[in-house]
Amino acid sequence: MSERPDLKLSAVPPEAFPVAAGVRSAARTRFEATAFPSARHEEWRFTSLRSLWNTGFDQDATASAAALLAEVALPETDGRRIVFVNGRLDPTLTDFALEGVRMQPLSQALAGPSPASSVFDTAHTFSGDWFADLNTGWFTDGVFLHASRHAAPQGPIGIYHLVTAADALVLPRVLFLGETGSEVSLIEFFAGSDGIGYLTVPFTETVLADNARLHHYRIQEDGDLGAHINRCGSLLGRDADLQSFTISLGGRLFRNDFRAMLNGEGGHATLDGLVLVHGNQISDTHSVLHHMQPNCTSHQLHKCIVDGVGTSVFNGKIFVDSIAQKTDSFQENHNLQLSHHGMVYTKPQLEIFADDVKCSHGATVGQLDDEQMFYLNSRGLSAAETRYLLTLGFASQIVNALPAGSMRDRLAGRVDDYTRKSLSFVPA
Amino acid sequence: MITIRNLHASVDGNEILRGINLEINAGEVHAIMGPNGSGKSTLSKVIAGHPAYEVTQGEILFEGKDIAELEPDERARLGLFLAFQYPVEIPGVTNAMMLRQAYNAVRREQGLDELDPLEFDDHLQEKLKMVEMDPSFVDRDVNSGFSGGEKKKNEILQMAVLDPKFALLDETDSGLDIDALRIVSQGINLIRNEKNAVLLVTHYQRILNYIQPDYVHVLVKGRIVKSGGKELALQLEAEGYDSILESIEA
Repeated sequence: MSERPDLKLSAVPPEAFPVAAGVRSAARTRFEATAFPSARHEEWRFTSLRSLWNTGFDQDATASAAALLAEVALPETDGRRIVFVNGRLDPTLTDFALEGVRMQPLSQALAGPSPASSVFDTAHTFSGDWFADLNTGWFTDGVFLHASRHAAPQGPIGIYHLVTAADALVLPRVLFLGETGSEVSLIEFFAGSDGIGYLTVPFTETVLADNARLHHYRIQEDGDLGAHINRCGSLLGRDADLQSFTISLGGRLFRNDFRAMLNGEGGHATLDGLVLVHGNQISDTHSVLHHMQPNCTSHQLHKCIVDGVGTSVFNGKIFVDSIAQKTDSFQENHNLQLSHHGMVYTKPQLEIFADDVKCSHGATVGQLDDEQMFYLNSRGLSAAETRYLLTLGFASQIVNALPAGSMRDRLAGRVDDYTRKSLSFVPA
Repeated sequence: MITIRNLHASVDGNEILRGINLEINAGEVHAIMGPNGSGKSTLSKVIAGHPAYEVTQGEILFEGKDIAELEPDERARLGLFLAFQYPVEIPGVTNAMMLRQAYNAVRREQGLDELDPLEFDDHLQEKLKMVEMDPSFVDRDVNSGFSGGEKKKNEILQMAVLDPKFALLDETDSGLDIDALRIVSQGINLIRNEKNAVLLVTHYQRILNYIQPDYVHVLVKGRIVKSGGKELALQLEAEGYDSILESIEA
């Protein structure tokens, strides 16, 4: 018995990505020396990884994903679609041509000195982390997206991370570089087949040069037995703007670890999130908003609904370095508990070393608001209709802020399904 | 329309209403005035059925039926409407969505067909004009980020859409500037007719310049201590509540 998963890793040598060989070798060395995280680690206090113990995951497992893609593909990403199947970039399902944005497999982009090699592995602080090092050391391929100066392509890019092979170990890697003044929308859609166990550890890095803007949408609709532990890092230059939104709907175990580094004056990061938990799902979001330079702003609105015997965890860190004067940062975390047995853990964590800043946070955990209930009741809505409307409204506040299109429609539909199912609501 | 007999009510064990008697007929507008803490807002909430308030004695008859034990939504579907003193913000739920659900709930109760979103929108646009509101208003989240005046106008819009038999307006005039007060009053005047009744709960006489009440009642310490015509409101405005309190205590 070992208190960790049994991984069967691909035989891809670090040298497969020549300019990243050193980084990969170092990650492998750290990985071998690092213990699998347990509840004794502060970062894993409330999220148990026991379900992964003694479970075999094979990085070479394969299966077709055409049917799953048909189910999840969003029409607005047609012609701008990049598809990973069980962790490998799939050239036959990928269909990408976009003016102003170049797409390359990482194996090409990291073959020699290039824009990719100058930013690869720079937009995060996850080194020494078991899962991050696993991805960095062993990803078999990934994708590099390079938006040129002032590029502002119409429509979003869609990266589909599909898992269809039972017992698969999936390590997708994405690197995005937005040059000065570019503005790009990127949807990362994580989906997996129901009924199969798997472990996916995606790692995405986004680098925003001065005045670049990225709208980064991340949709998690993993299969009901899938475990998904991701790492996402973002490095922002002067006046850069990151607008990030993550929605967690599927999977058995989801851990979202997002770190944004505001590394130039005047930068802004929004990290919004919506988590819907049912059954015995665990959904955990850890985020870091790191203010490293003056005059940056950040905003975070993270909402969770917990039903069944599910668990929701939120740890939102805001770090303000001593140099980062005039920081303006606001974090909100609101949790709605629909069942008596669901668990909610929330931990805002502000560490501020500058003295002239505006930083605040608010966290709530509870049931529906009595005054809102009475207000809608007094308009003639029954208790059941009111609960439905308020629960839907709680989640819709975030979904409604998304740009109009099939992504928003799909998510609004998922939120509505979840709400009706959780409340056993049948409209009159 | 509504008959209140010997109504006693408490919140958290404290008795606030101590024997209210009131009879309001169709076509009438009544105003209840009173100093702070007299129980004005409690009376509104008790009639509407707020769960925090307990009726300990007496009855509230609405068209002959005692509604004191009914849920707030059941009262609303019978045709009772409360315009809130402090309308509640509901992020994520649009005005249009709430109003359509509420309107259809009332229609179902009356055995009428529900309106689909398009049909309902026609109905809504007409009412928006009545209260001089921008059409974009209905797509905003209920009271979310509204100014004080917008919130009150939104109450009047909801009243216009739901077309209640009995409307309770709880300090709808407080916090309004003169333009908003005019629009809100106009809305109320447009809605009132010989088939419905209005109870205005207010601290100030000002709104009664726009809405002529048939009767004015003075509420003090949970009881109606004086009733009269609209001249009573003017007397209160001129002399303050103190003179009435003194005359009662004397």
